[in-house]
Amino acid sequence: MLPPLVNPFSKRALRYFREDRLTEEVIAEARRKLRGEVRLDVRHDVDAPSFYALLSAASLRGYASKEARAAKEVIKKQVSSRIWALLQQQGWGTPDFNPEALVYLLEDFELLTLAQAGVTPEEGDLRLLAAQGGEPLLYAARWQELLPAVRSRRLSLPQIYLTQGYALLTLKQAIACYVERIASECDAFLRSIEGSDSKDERLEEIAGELSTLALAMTPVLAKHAQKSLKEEQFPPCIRATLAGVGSGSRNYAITVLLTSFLSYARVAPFNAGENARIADFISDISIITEEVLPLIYVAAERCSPPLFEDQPLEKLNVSYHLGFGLTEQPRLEDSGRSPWYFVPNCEKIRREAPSLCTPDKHCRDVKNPLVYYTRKRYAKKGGR
Amino acid sequence: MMFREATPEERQRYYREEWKLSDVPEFILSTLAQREFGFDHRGEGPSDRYNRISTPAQLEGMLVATAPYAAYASVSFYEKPERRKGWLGAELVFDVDAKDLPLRPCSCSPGEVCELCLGMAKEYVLELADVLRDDFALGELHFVYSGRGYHLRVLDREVLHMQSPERGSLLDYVAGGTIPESELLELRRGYPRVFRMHILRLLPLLNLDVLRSGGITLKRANTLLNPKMLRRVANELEEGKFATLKDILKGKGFASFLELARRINAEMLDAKVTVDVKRILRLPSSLHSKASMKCMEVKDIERFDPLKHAVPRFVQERG
Repeated sequence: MLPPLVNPFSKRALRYFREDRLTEEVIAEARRKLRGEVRLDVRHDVDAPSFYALLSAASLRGYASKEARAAKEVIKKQVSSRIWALLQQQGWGTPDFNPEALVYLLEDFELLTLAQAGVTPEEGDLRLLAAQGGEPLLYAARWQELLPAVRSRRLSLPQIYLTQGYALLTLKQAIACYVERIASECDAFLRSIEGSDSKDERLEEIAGELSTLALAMTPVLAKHAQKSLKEEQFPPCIRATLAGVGSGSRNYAITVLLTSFLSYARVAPFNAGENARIADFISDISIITEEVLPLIYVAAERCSPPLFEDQPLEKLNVSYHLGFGLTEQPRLEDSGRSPWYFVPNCEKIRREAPSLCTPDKHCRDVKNPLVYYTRKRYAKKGGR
Repeated sequence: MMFREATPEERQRYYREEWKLSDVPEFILSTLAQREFGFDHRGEGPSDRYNRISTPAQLEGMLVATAPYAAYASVSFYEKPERRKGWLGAELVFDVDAKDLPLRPCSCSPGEVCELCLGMAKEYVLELADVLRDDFALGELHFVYSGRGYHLRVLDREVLHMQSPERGSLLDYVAGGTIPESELLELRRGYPRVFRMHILRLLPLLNLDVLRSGGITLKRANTLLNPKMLRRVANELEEGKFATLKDILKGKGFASFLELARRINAEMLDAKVTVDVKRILRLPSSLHSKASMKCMEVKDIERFDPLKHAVPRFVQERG
């Protein structure tokens, strides 16, 4: 029997990515994957098309849908579990384990052992890393191999030990990078089949199961929780923006950061999901026109110079960022005319408007200003 | 007379008498038809966008005929640059403007530049280039004097298809825009070395106001600013150590100092330029009319002196 598939997008697997391969056995295997079952003894002609079934079902809801995200998570879990299971078969965790086993297993990933790459960390660095209880650095990959993991924010380059163009990785990091690469191949595949209109009812059923799974994957907190805005619970960057910003960062602070923050904080503080529209969460536009926009306009007025004075068109841009298109008078029926921009992450704010980022103790472990707010605003008394 | 705005007549003279096609870098000429060109005709920003220029002769004709206030070319490549459609990739760019440096070694007023801050901007881009070479093994680096600072343009094949999040993460690494894990601050190589290198550069520029604005107490700030202490801290940092700095600033003060360093690092360059994959950038060889200086590719950056090499003839001849 052939060794189990590790990469569902390998040449060997892609041969089976065809609708006429979707037998009942394949659909049953796709459902097992949905339930989280990981099997190493599935025949390739069943295993590979079952990945195809999952992705095709997800694509019925769009490549950026929550179903697509769920399918991607299912596939990532399959790939990662298979790798760990196969490594265990090769003696991982025992003194006999040969690090080259992972290099062979991930044959389509340009991964090398440190010796193969001819790079070694400084002796002192190895001691320091070991003293911190860190896993040993066993592998080297060209830093570009990490980019899918960086794109998905699973890794950031400053977290990685880089030298001479190589990223030196622990076994866990190497596997994480590989799995993220598979996830990015899922994205590319979903884009490539977008618009294909399958009439297979079984795929429609799987799409329904992916919807259920996606809901289970969202945080337990109520999806539609809405409370009035409390400025004293805003993070420092938002408080700084409300106080007015200088000319270099005005547009970013008001139009991008404040507009997205206030709207999501008021309307959909928890996991609005991709492609969300304000109208999905409220039925009364006055929440926007009387609670959100006035705060934005006052903050814009406090900028130096006042933002709308020399750039009156920015008002339209605020509406655009709220998803109402270019208008000065948003109406609920216009919701969705443009994207409703999500709150930028702290990392991005630090980069785009460094002067706004003056973290306080609550900023620790927070990667997005909205999380700072929801933790404070929605925490139970006595909780965090 | 330096840095005074160029008149329309001076612009015309520059493009007719001094500008040469051979001053446009080869990396732009070889991809001319894939880039979007933008022009600012009146000094109000590049409102004339979405231009495709297919041949060097067409570029020459355009510049000589219109003598624009500023000329730009995209860092991105397109199948149809005139519509900005069919994105094929983009250079990775770092933009360091001497007038926007958060700490300057001179007493220039806001918006002004001088030999000292231009020198600091040059040293800084050289540091960025070292990190790109040493840690990322990137080699196709081009330096451009922008008129008031420097652009570092990276054209290695590996970077061309990077999207904004990856460019942002690489920027954080190269510029020291994030604080390393405290236990790993003293690693000899990798990102902690880069972060230390940036602190080393900051040390001589620190003063009481800066340290106080970063939350360092007056007493500790004064201790750190003692020249002997600063030397000792610098020597230790070169060795990868923080002992004296930690000793002076204590736990919370040390954390505030690292945060201050991170913030200053992040303000050293314009992050928007690096993460933007559709940016237009001043065209090397063109005139920076606001400063009356040439924007030009710099082949030998170590010996480059903008106040000698980037001054147009009409400025030298101003009374």
